Amino acid sequence: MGCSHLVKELGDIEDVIRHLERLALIKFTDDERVKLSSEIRKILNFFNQLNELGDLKDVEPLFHVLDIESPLRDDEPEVCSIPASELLSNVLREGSYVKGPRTVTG
Amino acid sequence: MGDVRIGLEIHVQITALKTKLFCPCPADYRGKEPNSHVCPVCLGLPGVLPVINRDAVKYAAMVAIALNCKISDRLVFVRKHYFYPDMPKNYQISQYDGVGSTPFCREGFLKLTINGHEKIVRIRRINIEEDPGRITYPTGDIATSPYSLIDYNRAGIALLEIVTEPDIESPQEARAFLTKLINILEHLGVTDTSLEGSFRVDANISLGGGSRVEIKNIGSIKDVERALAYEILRQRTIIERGGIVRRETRHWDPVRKVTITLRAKEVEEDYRYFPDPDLPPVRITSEFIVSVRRSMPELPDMRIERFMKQYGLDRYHSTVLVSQKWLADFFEEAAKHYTRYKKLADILITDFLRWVNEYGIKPHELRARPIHIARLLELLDKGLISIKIAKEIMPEIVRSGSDPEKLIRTRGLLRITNRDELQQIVREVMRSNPKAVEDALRNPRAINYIVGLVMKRTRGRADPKLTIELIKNELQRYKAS
Amino acid sequence: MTKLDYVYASATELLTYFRSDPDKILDYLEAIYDRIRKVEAKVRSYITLRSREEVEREAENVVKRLKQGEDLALAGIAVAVKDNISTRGIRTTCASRMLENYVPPYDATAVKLLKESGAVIIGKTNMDEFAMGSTTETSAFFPTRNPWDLERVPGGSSGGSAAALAAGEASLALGSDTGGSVRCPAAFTATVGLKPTYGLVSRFGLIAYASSLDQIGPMARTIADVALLLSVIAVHDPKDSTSIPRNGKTDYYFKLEELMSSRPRLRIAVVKELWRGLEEDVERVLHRILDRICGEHTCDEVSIPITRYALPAYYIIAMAEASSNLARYDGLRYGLHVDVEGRSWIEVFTEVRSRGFGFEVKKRIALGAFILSAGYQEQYYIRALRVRRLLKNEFDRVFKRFDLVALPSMPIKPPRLGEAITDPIKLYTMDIDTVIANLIGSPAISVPAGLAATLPVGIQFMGPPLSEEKLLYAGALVEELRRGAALKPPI
Repeated sequence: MGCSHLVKELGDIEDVIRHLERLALIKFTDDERVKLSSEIRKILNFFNQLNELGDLKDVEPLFHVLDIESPLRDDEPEVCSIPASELLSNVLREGSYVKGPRTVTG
Repeated sequence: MGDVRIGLEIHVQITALKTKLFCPCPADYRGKEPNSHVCPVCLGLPGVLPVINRDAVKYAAMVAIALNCKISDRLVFVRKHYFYPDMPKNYQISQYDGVGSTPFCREGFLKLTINGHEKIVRIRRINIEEDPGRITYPTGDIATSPYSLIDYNRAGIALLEIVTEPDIESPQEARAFLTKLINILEHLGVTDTSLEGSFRVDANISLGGGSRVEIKNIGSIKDVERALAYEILRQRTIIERGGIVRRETRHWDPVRKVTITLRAKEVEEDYRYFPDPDLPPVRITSEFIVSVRRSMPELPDMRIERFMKQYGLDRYHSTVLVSQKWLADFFEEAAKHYTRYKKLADILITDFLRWVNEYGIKPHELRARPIHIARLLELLDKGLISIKIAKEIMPEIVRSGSDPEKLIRTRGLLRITNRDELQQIVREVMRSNPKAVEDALRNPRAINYIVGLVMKRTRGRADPKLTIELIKNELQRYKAS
Repeated sequence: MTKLDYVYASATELLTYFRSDPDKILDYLEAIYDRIRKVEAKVRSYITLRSREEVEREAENVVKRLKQGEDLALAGIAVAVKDNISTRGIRTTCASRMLENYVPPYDATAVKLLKESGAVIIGKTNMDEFAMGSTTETSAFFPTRNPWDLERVPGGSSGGSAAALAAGEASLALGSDTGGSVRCPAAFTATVGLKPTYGLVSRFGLIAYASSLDQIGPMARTIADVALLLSVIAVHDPKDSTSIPRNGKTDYYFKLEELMSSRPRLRIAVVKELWRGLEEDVERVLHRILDRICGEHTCDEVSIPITRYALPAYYIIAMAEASSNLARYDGLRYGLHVDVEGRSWIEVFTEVRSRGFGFEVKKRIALGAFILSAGYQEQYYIRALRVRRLLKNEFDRVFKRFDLVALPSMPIKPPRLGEAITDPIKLYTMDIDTVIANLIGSPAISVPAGLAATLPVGIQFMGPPLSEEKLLYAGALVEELRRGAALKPPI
C-alpha cells in the first residue's frame, strides 16, 4: 500500500489531525503539526504492512494473553483508609466538591 | 394514533449492593458529604485497576431471568470513551455488542396487560455498567454557572441498562411498561426506586417512520408519560405544518413540562468501544444461572397467581396488592393473624391504602403494623366496634401505628351493647328532640333520623339493632301515654 | 567492605553481610549516597531522590527488625523505582509535566511488597514520558546518560533504573516493560533485566501505558539478584484482575541454585528471522556467546516468518491502549491543572492535555484514537490482535519442542543522544526483538553478553509462560561464561 493511496483514502492529513485532536482533546503546536504530518504517513505505512497477511477473518483476535477469568469480589464494604485530603491533594476544591469547568460549550 | 414507535433505555442502580461495581467503597452515598465515599479506584487515579462485584452479576442475572432474556455465556466489559467532568477515567466501563464483546443478555420480553389485552414489549439487551459522578452548579443553573461542582461519591455505582425494542406505541403503554418493570425490580430486591437518582429513563420516539428523537434523563414514570405525550404533539405539529422532524437529542424540563433541544445528533459520538484489557471475560455457566434462578424471590405475576390460589382472592384484589410490593408483604404478614382474607384484602386496598397515600407515607416510614389491621378486623368481627368506628380510627392507626384495641379503650369507642346504658341515651335523645319523636310517631320511616341522632350522640358506638329496638319501645310508650 | 565494594556489591552479598552485622546497612547507604553525589550530575538517573535523613530513618527501623530476628528478604537494600510506579508520599511523575507534582496517596502492590521485605526505596528514576520510548530521551525533564558512554543513551523506557544500577547508584531496581522497556536498557548498560510472564507481577499501581502488554520487571547487576527481587514481587494480587492466581511466593533464587547444580540440558530455539539486521559487531558478540552456550546445550534454528509483523502489531495495540489509558488526564482530580472558571470542559481538558503531554505522547494518543475509531478499528486494532494470535500460536508450537528461544536483546549498540529519535520508524525498529514477548505474554530476560567496542551488548532469552526459572538459569550460564569480564562502566 503506497503513501499516495493512503492519502487519497484519508483525505487531507491536516483534516485527519484536526479530527484526532478533537477526539482526544489535545492540540498540537504548529511545529508539532508539521512534524506530525510527515510522521503520520510513515507510521500508517508501517502499520499497513499488516495488510500483507491478507484475509485474517478466520483468526480470532487475541484480546487477553492469559487464559484466566477476572476474579469476582465479595460485596463487603471497605471504607478507604486514605484521608480525603491526601486522596484529592493539590486539586481545585470548593468545600468538599471538586471544582470543575463549565459543562456546556459556549 | 398513527405509527408511533417508542423505545426506552432505562438505567437503574442496583441499590441492593453494599459496594460499588469495581471497588469496595460503600454504596450508600446519598446524603453523605461529597467525595467521602471514594477511593483511588473509583476516582480513576493513575495506576488503579477494577475488580468486579460478584453480587452485581447475580442481580443482573436475576433481572435477565425475570425478563426472559438469553444470557451470554461470558461476561465481557468494554471501555466506552467520552470526556466529561463526571467521568473519572474519561471512559465508562460498560458492555457492548461488538468484536470481542457481548451484552450481558439479549432478546427478552415483558408481557403487559393494557386495557384488557396483552401486549409484549421486547427487551433488546441488558448491560451492566458504572455510574459517573454527579455534577451540580453553584448558581443552580447549568447554563449560567461559571464553573461546576463535582461529587464522585456516585462514580462507580453499579447500573443496569435495560434497552427495549421500539415496540411501545403510546405514552400510556410506556407508563404501564415502566410500572411493571419497577414492580419486578422491587420484587427481586434489585432496586429501591424510591431512592433519589436510582432510576433514569431515556426515551426514543419516532412518528410515521420519521427521524428518531431521543429524550434524555427523565426521572419518573409520570414524567416519561408526559414527555412522550408532549413530543408526539410537538412532532405532529411540525409534520402537519409540512416540516420535517429533525433527528436530535432533547431534554425534558419537568418544571416547564416541555422538551428542549440539547444537541443535534448529526455527529455521532465515536465511543471507540473495545474490550477492557484489565478485565478478562468471566464465564457464565448454566450452573450459575440455575443457582440464581433457585434463589430468586417470587416475581409479581407468580405472586398474583399464588394470592388467588392461596388466599382465594380475585384477580383484581391480588393485582392491586402485588402492584406495590410492600402492600403485598403487609397483606401476607397480616394474613398470618387473620384468616378472612377477602375482608383483609379489601380493607387494605381501600381505607388503609387511602390514608397511606393521603398522608404521603413512604413504605419504610410506615408505623402501622400488619397485626394492627388484623386486630381491627377482629374487633369488627366480634361486634365490639362498628364499621363507622373502624373507618374513623383507620387514619390514626396508619399515621401513628397505634394498637387499635388501646385506641378504642382510651377513646372509649367500644360499641354500646348494654341495654340499660343505651336505653338511657335513647330516652335522653328523644326527650331533647320532641319534633323528631312526633315525626316518627306519624311516619315509621322517620325513625332513622332518631337513630342518626343516637349515633351522633354516641359517636357511632350505639349498636344499631338494639338502638332501633329501644327507640321503637320508647315510641310505643309515647303512644301509650 | 570498602565504599566501592558497597557500591557495586550484589544484593546477595550484601544480604549475607548484613545478616551478620545489621548496623552495616547504614554504612552501605552512606556509600550509596556518596556515590550518587559523585556521579548523578553526569548520569542523571533520578527524577526524585529521597533525602538521606529520611532514608536512614527508615533503614534504622530495618536494622531494628533484623536484630529482632525478623527474616527480611531484601533487608536494607537500596532500590531505585521507575517513576511510573506509584509510591505513596513520594512524587511520581512518569517523567511528564502532566504529573510533575503528583504525589500518589497509595503504594503500588510491588512497592508494598518491597517495603515488607525490608528494602529501602531511595528514589524514583527517569524514564521516557509515560514509558513511551526506547531511549529515555522523551522524558519531559532531562535525558539520562549511559554510564558506559555519557554521550549515549542508556536505552528506555526504564533508562534511569538501568543507569542507576550501572553507575552504582542503587543495588536493585524496578522497571516496567511494555515492548522491551526493561530489557532494552539492561542490554545497553550491561545489567540484567527481566520481563515476567504477563500477570505474574501485579500491575496495581503501575501507571498504565498499554494494559495488555505492561509488566513491572526486576532489574539488577546479577542474575541471582534478579531472582531475589522477582521472588519478592511475584505474588498474586486480588486488586489486579489480570494477576495469575497462585498460592504464596516462589523462591526463584532457590530454584536457580537447584538448576545450576543439576545443570539440565536446555533445548534452545534460534529464530532465524530475529537474528537479521544486526549491527556487525553486535552480531559478533552475540554469536560468540551463543556458540558457547550451544556447545553445551541443544540449539536448533527455526523459522517464524510472521515475526516480521510483530512490530507493527505491537505499536498498533500499544498506541490504542495508551490513548485509552491516558484519557483520564484532565487535571481535575490530580496532575497539572489550569483555571476552570468561565471555561468549558472541552477548553480546559484540551489545554491541560496539550500542555501536560510531550510530542511523542500526544502523537501516540492521537494515533491510538485513530486506530480505535469507527471505520478503522477493524482494519488496524482488530487486525493487529489477529496477528497477535498468529504469533502466539507459532510460539506455543515452538515452546512445545524447545525450552527457550535465544535472540538478541537489541539489534544495535546504544545510539548517541539525539540520534534515534529523529526518525520514528527507526526508533520503533529498535524494539524489533523485544516486542514479541509482550505480545504473547511470555517472560524474557536480557543478560550482558559482552562489549562491542566498549559498548554493552545483551543477549535475550524468552520462554513459555511461567518459565522464569529457566530464563534465570540460561542467564546464569551466560553470566558464568562471562565471569571475570569487566562489568563496571568507566564512570
